[in-house]
Amino acid sequence: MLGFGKRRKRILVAEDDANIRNIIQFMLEGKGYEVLAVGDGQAAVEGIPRFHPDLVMLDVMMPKKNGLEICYEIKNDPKTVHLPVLILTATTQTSQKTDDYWRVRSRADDFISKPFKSADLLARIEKLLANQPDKPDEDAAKRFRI
Amino acid sequence: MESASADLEGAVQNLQDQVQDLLVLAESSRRILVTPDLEGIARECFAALQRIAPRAARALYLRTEDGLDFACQLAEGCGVAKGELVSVPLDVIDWVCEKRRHTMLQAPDGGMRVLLPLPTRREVAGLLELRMPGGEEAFSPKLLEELQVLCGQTAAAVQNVTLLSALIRERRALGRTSAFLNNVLEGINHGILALDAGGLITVMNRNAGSMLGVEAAQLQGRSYREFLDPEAIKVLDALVEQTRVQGFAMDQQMPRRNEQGIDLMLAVGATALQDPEGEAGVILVFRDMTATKELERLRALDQMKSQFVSNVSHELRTPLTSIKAYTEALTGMVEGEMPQKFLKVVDGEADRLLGMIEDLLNVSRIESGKFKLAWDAVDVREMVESILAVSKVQSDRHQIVVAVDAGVPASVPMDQNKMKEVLINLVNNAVKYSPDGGEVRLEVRRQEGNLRVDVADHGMGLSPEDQKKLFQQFFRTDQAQAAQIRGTGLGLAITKGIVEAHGGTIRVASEGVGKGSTFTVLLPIRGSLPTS
Repeated sequence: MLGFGKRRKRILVAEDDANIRNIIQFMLEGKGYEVLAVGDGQAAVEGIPRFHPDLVMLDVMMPKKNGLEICYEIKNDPKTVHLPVLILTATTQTSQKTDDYWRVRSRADDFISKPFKSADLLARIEKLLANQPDKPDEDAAKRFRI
Repeated sequence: MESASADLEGAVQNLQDQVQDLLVLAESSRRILVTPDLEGIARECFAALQRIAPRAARALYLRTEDGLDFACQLAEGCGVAKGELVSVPLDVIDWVCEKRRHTMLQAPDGGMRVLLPLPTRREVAGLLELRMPGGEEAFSPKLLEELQVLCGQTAAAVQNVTLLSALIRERRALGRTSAFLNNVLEGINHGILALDAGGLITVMNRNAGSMLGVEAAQLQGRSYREFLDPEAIKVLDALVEQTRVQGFAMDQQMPRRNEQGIDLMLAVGATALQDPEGEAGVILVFRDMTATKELERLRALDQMKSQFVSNVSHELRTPLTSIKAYTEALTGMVEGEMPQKFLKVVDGEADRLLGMIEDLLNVSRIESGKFKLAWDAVDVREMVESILAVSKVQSDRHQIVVAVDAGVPASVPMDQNKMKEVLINLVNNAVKYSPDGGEVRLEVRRQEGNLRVDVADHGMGLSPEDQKKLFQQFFRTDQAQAAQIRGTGLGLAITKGIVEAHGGTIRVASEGVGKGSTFTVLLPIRGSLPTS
């Protein structure tokens, strides 16, 4: 049971491949995270202010909006600058050069390349979340104020 | 009366003699002047002398080619050989040349010698020397006068011949130059078309003819408007006009169909032709771009192929990511030895596919030259040690022995990841292709300016033919395939690509099938890190 004023950590997952999206959701929910899984970049951008995630996991190549672009926007918005971003790449060495550029530009907190091991993915997520202070459950607070 | 008559007779005789001499001289002159060579002129001159001074020894000297001295052309009776220089003191010669007058000298044998100039308008072309016994009286004023006339004629003839031969020489040289220039013009593999100020063709080489589909030789003095189609005329008119106004013009494209009916893409450039006389023309240069275009197309195709390989690899990784992730999830969910074993096979095969995709990408990258090295000062010992921890290298049936010589520098510039890949691949191969086990030696030492790496095994070895083909893409030996050892045949091609990108070499040695193999890598030890 979670204590009062605390909530389960929320992770927004944006990945256009449904199978990968589903297995990530399965892995994360199995570890007790609350997951919002979306299939394109636009949905990810719209999901952030509504879902209030503690961490965003973005695939690079997605319809409508590229994961690195979204990350760039997150890191350039004072409201979301502290939101940890984990980028999921299927980087081949051919695209390395543009990726290297975006790695720096996007200011992503971490990268994990496909295919990945669930243990590796979970370890990275835990590490990124550990750096974040626990936030009070604003939604719950709102509910209780009524 | 008697004496008067005798005097008259004498005078008449004298006059007759003079007329005779003058006739002789006139005849000699005519013959000398029509003689086309120096040798002949000298002979004709001497023939005249034989008549007017039959007793005199004689020598004709002509100016040497450098113009500084006089050499004997012909001599009779005075012991001078042809080519010999005139044996008179220099100041005497100078005086004769300057005054353009004859002089008399004492001959060494006691007689008299007279030296006469061969005067031309500009200079003294030669000297005539006559020797006679006796004193000055041997040369009468009349004789001297005749000699001067003869010298004048001889000089004129000599001058003519000299000028003529110079002219002929120049003409020949000019002919050679013109033939040479013509060869150059025809040898250029572009079409050249020169127009005069009036737009008429002055020069057209064969290439221009064949590119434009006309007979180049027949078109001098005509306008290209007479034989080209309106499209081509428009292009050339614009170029010529632009060149007349600006002095140059940017290349224009001009599609043509040549004599054989093949479609060509020509690039036409134009430059102004400068003439010292002020008559400006235009030179048009036609270049056949068809081959260049084809190369461009192939290059684009090649780029497309690389892009395709890269995209395909990316697309292949996505389902493999799913397969691996779901397999892993399932592994945590199901129990029992069999299901676990099966899932392991699925996972292992997915890994194999991933490896192949990576290999294909690497090959395509090496081929397309997109292969970039990340140079770093690398601790070779540490790198070699770290290889032993890699699972691909580990084996229960092999003893892997690593020896790094003390002479190996502490750090060597290289791309650490890629060279590590090379060593892993070589050791992995050594293990893979010695199915009966045995020792695998990885030795590193310094050999002159190189880092030398040897990887030796006691495995299945290689025939001499297979050694030659071993580094080719997709090559696999019959033995390896018969032994059902898996592989794509890309590993060594990639290894070679990496080594060569470092400026190094790789070779294989094997005593034959069943006798093991040794791979040797030589990597130049650079003094500093190359800037990438």
